[in-house]
Amino acid sequence: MSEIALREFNREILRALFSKPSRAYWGMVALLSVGIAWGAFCWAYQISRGMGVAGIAHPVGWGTYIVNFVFWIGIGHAGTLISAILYLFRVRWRSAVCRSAEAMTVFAVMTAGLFPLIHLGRVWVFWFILPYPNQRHLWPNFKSPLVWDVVAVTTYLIISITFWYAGMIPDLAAARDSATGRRRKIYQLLALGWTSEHGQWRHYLRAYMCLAALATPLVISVHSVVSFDFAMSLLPGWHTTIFAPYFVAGAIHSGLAMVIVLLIPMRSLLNLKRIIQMRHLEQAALLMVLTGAILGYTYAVEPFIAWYSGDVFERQFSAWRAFGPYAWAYWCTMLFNVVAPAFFALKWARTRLVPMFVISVLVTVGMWLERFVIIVDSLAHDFVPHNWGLYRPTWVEISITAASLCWFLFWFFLYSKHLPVVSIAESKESRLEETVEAAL
Amino acid sequence: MSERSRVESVFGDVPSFVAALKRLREEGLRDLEIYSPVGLQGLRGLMPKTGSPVRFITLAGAIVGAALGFWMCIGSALLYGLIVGGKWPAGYLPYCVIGFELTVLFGGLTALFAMVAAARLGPRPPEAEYDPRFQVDKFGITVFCQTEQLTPVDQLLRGAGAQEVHEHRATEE
Repeated sequence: MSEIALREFNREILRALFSKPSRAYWGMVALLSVGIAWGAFCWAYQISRGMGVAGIAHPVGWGTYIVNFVFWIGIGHAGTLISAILYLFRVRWRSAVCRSAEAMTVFAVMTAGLFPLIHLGRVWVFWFILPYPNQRHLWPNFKSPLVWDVVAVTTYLIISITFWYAGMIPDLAAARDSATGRRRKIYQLLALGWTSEHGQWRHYLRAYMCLAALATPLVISVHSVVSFDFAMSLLPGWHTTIFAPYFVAGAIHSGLAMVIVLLIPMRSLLNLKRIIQMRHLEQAALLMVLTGAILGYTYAVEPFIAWYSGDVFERQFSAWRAFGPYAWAYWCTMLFNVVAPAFFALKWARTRLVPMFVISVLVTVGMWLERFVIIVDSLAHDFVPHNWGLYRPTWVEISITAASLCWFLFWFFLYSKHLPVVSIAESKESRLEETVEAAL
Repeated sequence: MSERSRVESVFGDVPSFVAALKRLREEGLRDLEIYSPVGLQGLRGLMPKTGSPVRFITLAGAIVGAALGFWMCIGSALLYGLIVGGKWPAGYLPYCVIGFELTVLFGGLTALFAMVAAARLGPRPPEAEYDPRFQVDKFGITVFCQTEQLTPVDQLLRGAGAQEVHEHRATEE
C-alpha cells in the first residue's frame, strides 16, 4: 500500500459514500426488500396458522430456525475476531477488512437474534424469556444454558456495536468534513466533535485497546456458550466436551468465508481495489486453511470419541450420522468445510478471485449443513428406537431462511453506501508505520 | 475571555513533524497541542501527555459488571428459592458465565463512555479553529508560549520544515 498517498485514502474510501448509487445498487436493494417482505409474510402466516406450518414436530423440536440461529451467530464471529484479536497482535492486513467484518458481525447477530423469536411461535410474549425477577411466577434460572445464551448473545451484540462505532469515530469526522446538507449534520452528530487532537487520540487509543482486549475473550465465550445449549444436554452427539472449541473454530471458519464472499464483490462495486488488495483476501484465505484443519481434526475426533467411549448409544448414533438418511449432509460438511478450504494452501487458489469466491461460498453452505447435522441428527435419533423420526424443512422455513439472507445483505448494502467501509485512519497508520520508525 | 500567545504550524510529512517535536522537546517547550490524521502510537515518547484514565475507569466498570452479574444470579436464586435436597439454591459455577458476560458488557460500555468524557467529545460541531486538513494528510503543532518566545518558536518550526506557521499574540477582554 506504500504507493497510496494519505489524501488518496480519504478520497477513495469516501467516494463510495458520496457518489450517486447506480441502478444496479437500487435494483439489488429492491430485490432484497422483496425477499424480506416475502419472509415477513411467511412469518405472519406461521403466526396466524400456528407452528404446524413449520416442519418442527416430535422428536425434532429444534429445526431450521435454530440451525439458522447458530449459523448466523457463527458468521458474526470473524468480524470481532479479525478486528479485536488481530488489533491486539498488530497485524497490518487487518485495516483493509476490519470495518466490513465488524459490520458483518453486527448484521449477522441482528439476523441471528430474530430466529429464537421466530422459533418461539407466540412472539408477542417474547419478553417472558428475558431473565429478570418478575411477578409472573416465571423462574429466571441462571443455571440454564439457554439463559446464558440470551445474556451472551445480547452482550455480544452490544459490544460489537460499541467496538464498531468506536473504531469509526475518526472516519465519521472525515466523512463529516466532506459531506454537505443533512448528511453533514448526521455525520457531525455521530463524529462527536472529533478534531484529531492528540488529547483525543490518546484517550481514544486506550479505549479502543480496552475494547479489543474485552472483545477477544467475548468472541471465544459467546460461541462456547452457544455450544453449551447442546453440550449440557445428555443426547448422543451433543453431550461432549469438545463442543466449545469445535463451535468456536467453526464460527471463525464460516465468518472468514463470509468476509471473503462479501468483500470480493464489494471491492469491485465500490472501486476499492487499491485499498482492499488481493493480499488482504489472501491472508484471510490462509487463516481459513488453519481453521479448516482444526475443523477437520474435530470431525475426525468425534467418531473416535464415540468409539473409544464404549457407549453403545454414542457408537450407533455416530454410525447413523455417517450412513443414515442425513449422511449426504454429513459428507457434504466434510467436503465443503475441510477439503475445499484446503485448496487455499495452494497459491493459485488463494490468489485468484473466482476459486476464492467459490470455495468461500462452499464453506458457507458447508457450515450451515454442519449446524443442520449437529442439531437435527441428535434429535432425530436418540436413545429409544420408537422415539426416532426424520425432519424435513417446509416451504415456510425455507422461505424464512432465504429471507434472513436477504435481511443480512440488505443491511450490508445500506452500510456500504452510508458509512466508511474501510478504516481510513488505520489504513493511514499502516501506511505510515515505517515512515514513523525511520523518522525516530 | 483571554487567549494565550501561541504559534500554529502545519506540516506536510511525518519526518519534519517528528523533527519539530524533537526540537521542541529539546527546547523544553511542553505546552503543545498536536493534530494528526492518525493515532501515531509510535510517537508516544515525544508527546507532551501520554496518560489516560480510561483503563482504570474501564477496570472499575468491569468489576461493577462482574459484581452485578453474580448479585443478579444469587439474588434471583434466593428470591425463587427452589430448595433441592436441602442444598443452598445458588450455584457459583454456572453463575461465572453470567458474571463474565456482564464483566465484558459493563467494561466495554464504560470504556466508550470514559473515552467520550476524557476526550471531551459530544454531539456538537468542531470548534471554529478546527482545520479539516488534519483529518486528511496534514500534521499540526500548536505551541503555547510567552509572547517574547513567539519569534524563536516560529523560527524553530520553520527550521524543522513546517509548511505554514502563524503567530497569535495574547489577547485579553
